[in-house]
Amino acid sequence: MISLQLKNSLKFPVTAKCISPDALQDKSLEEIEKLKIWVGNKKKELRELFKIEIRGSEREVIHVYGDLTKVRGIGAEMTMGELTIHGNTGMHLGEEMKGGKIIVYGNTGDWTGSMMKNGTIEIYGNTGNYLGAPYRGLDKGMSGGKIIVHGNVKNEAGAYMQNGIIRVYGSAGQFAGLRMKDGTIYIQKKCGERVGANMRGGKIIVQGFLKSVLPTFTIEDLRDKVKIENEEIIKEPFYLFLGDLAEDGKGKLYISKKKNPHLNFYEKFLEGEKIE
Amino acid sequence: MENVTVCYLDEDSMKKLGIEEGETVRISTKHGSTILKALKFHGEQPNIVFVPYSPWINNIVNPDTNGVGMPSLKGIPAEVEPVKGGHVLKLEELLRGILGSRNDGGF
Amino acid sequence: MMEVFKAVTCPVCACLCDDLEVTVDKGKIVDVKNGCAFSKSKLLNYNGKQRVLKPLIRKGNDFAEVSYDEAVKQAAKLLTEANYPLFYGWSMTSCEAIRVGIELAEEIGGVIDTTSTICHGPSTLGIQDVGLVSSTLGQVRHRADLIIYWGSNPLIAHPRHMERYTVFSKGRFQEKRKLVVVDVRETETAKKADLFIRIEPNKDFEVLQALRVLIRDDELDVEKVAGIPVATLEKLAEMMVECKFGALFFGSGLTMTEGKNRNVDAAISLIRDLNRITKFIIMPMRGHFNVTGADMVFTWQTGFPYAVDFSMGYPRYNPGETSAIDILLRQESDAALVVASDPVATLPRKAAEHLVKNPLIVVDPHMSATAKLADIVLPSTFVGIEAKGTAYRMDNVPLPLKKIVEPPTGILSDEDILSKILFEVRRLKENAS
Repeated sequence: MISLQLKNSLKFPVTAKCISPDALQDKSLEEIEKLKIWVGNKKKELRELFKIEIRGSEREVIHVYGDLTKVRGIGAEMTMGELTIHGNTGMHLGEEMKGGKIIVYGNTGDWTGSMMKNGTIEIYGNTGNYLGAPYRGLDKGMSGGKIIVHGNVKNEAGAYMQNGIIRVYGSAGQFAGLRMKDGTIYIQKKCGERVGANMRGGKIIVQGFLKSVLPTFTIEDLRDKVKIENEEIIKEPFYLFLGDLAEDGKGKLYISKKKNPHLNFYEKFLEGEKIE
Repeated sequence: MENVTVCYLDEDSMKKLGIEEGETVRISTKHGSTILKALKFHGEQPNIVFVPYSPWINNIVNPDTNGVGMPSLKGIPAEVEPVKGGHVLKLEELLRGILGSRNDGGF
Repeated sequence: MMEVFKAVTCPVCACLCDDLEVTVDKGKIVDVKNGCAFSKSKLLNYNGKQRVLKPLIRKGNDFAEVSYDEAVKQAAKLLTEANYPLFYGWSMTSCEAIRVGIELAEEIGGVIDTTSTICHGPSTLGIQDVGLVSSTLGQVRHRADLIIYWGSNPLIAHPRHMERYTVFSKGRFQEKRKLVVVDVRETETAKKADLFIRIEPNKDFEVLQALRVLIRDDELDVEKVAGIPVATLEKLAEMMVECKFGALFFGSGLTMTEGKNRNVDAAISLIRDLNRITKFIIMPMRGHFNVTGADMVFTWQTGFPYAVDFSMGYPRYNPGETSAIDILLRQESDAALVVASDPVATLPRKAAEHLVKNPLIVVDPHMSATAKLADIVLPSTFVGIEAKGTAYRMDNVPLPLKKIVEPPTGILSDEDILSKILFEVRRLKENAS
C-alpha cells in the first residue's frame, strides 16, 4: 500500500494526475517522492506536498489523506487498482478512468469521472457540476463504469452520457442527463429542472421531487415499478415520459408519482388513450 | 453615478408594496441586501425589480457559476420593501466595504 | 483650427458604428455627429477630472506619483513573484494591446480572461457545443425580413443597432421587416415590436425548446410554457417558418439567467433546425467595443477564446475551472493585472473582495473603482480617441480605431505599457536564471 499524507494546506491549484495506481506501482519510494507536479505556476516535487510511505507489497492500493480540494486530476486515466481518498478532492477526479476503483470519504469537485470508460467511483460526500460529462465541445461523456454518489450532485450530471450508470442517493441540480444517448441515471431525492434536456436515449429515474418536466417530453405510461440495474427494482408507481422531442429523442424519464402529485394532470392524456 | 443607484418597479408592484416613486427601498436576496432609490417603470414588468448593473448590487447577485464561469446576474429571487429615508451608500463607502478585509486596510 | 474627422469608429459598444464625424478644435473634441448618446458622452467627456495623469503606487492610504519606469518595475516584480496571477479585462482596448497581454500572461504563467467571462462567455460555450449559423450585420440589413431580439434591449444598450442594421434600416433587397421581442419585461424595444412575448424569468430554455418542436408542427402535452399559451408560441413558430431570412439577436437575458450556456445551446439549436426550412441566423449582442476582438486574438494566439490558463506552461481552457470569477471565488489567485475593465464595479462582491486582497495592478485611463483600490495604477490613453488600433464588431468584422487627438503629455498606450512590463519581466527572469 502506498500512502500519501498532505503536509500543509494548499492555496494554489495543483494538478496531480500522477496520483494513480498506474503511475505509482512500478516506482521506488525515491522515484515517487521526486515526481514533478505543478503548484500554481511553480513546479514542485511530490514530497514537498506529501509525506509518502510504502507499506507491504500491495502497490496498486493507494490511500491519500488530507484536504485535497485544490488537487485536480487524481486517478485520471487509471486502469486498475484501488485509490482511496480520506478527505475532499478537487476537479477531474478519475477523468477518463478505464478501470479500478476510487473511493472518496469526502466531497469531490466538478468533472468527477469526466468521460469515464470503465471502473467504479464511489463518493460518500457531495460532488460538483458535470459528473461524468465530457470536456467542452466534445459530444461523448461517460461511456461505461459506475459512479455512486451518496450525497448531492450539482448541474449536468451525466451530460452526453453514452453508457454506464450513475446513482445519486442525494439530490441533483439542473440538466441531469443532458444530451445523453444511453446508460442509466438514478436520482433518489429532489431533482433540479430540465432533467433529460435534449436526451436521445437512455434512462433517467427520479424517485424524489421534480418541479416540472420539460414541455418537450410526452407522457407515455404510468408504470407500477421501475428497474434500476440488474435485478434491482423499485416497486412504486412512476410516470414514464419520452423525449426530448426537440431532438426526436427516445429517452425514458421515470418520475415518481408519489412524490409529484402536481404532475397528475398528465394522466388525462393516458386515459384518453385508453378510450381510443 | 446617480443613475445606477436606482431600481425600477412597475406601477402595480409599487402599489402592492406601498412604495412611492423616488423613495428608498431595500432589495434583499439570499446573498445580501442593498438600498436603492425606486423609480417607476413605464411598461409591463409584473413582480420584477429591474436594477442596473453596478457595484451597488454586486453583493446581492448569485455568485455561483455552476461550473460555467458565469455567475447568475439576472432572474434572482428577491424581496423588495420600502425603507423611508434609507441611506444609499456613496461609492467611497462601498469601496471601503470591499476593501475592509485587506490586511493593510489601505484606502 | 477646426478639423473634421470622417468615418470615425465609435469606441463604445460592439456595434462599432463607423460613420461618426468628429470635429476637433485646438486638440479638443468639440462636436460629434451621427453618434448615439453614449458615443457623444464618451467622446466629449472622456478627458474629465477622473483622468489619471501620472503612474501611481499605493503608500498606505494614499497614492504616490511615480515614473512609468518605477511603476513598471514594481508591477513586473509583483507579477513575476506570483504563483497564480490573473490577467483580466481586455474588452475596451485594441487587438494590438491584447496580443501583448497574452504574451505577458504566457511569459509569467498566469491565467488570462476577458470580460466575456461575465457576459457572453456562456454563448461561446453554447457555440462550442452546437456550432453557430451566423452572418455579418450587412447581410441582415440587406436581406432579413424577420428580426427577433431575445433577452436584449438594443434601444437602450446598443442604441443604433436597429437603425443601422435591423428594423429601422433600409436594406438593398429588404426595406420592411417584422420585429419580435422576447423578454421578461416590456422594454423600450418591446414596445416597438409587432409581436412581444413576455415570458416568466428563467424560463427561456423551455420556450426555445418548445419552439423547436412547434416549428415542425408537432404537438406538446402542455397548454402553457413559461406562462405563455402554446397558441402564442405557435404564432411565433409560424412567423419563423414563413420568413425568408430571419435573424435572432440575443443578449444577456439568455446568458445571465438559469440555464446560461444551455439557453444559448437551445437558441442555436432552434436556428439550426430552422435552416432546414428557411434561412435564419443568430448572433450574440456583444457589449464592450472590442470584446469580440479579445475573443479573436485569444483564439489566434492560444486556440481558445477566453479563460486561458498558462500556469503549466501551455494554454489550457476550461471555463468553470480557468475562468476569472471561479478563480477569485475559490481564492486561488495571488496577484492580478487588470487592463481596460472595472471588475470591482462589475464582479460579484466576493470575487471583487479576493481581487483587492492581493497585489493589484491596474492599467486604465481613468480612476475606475478598481483603480481606486489598486496597488499600482498605470494611466493609459483612450484607444480609438488618443491611440489607434483594431477592434472587432459583434459580427466578427474588424474595423480600424482612429487616433483623433493627442493624449495628455507623457501618457502611454495600453500596448506600450504592456510591452514595457513584458520587457521588464523578461529581464527579471533572465537575471534570476
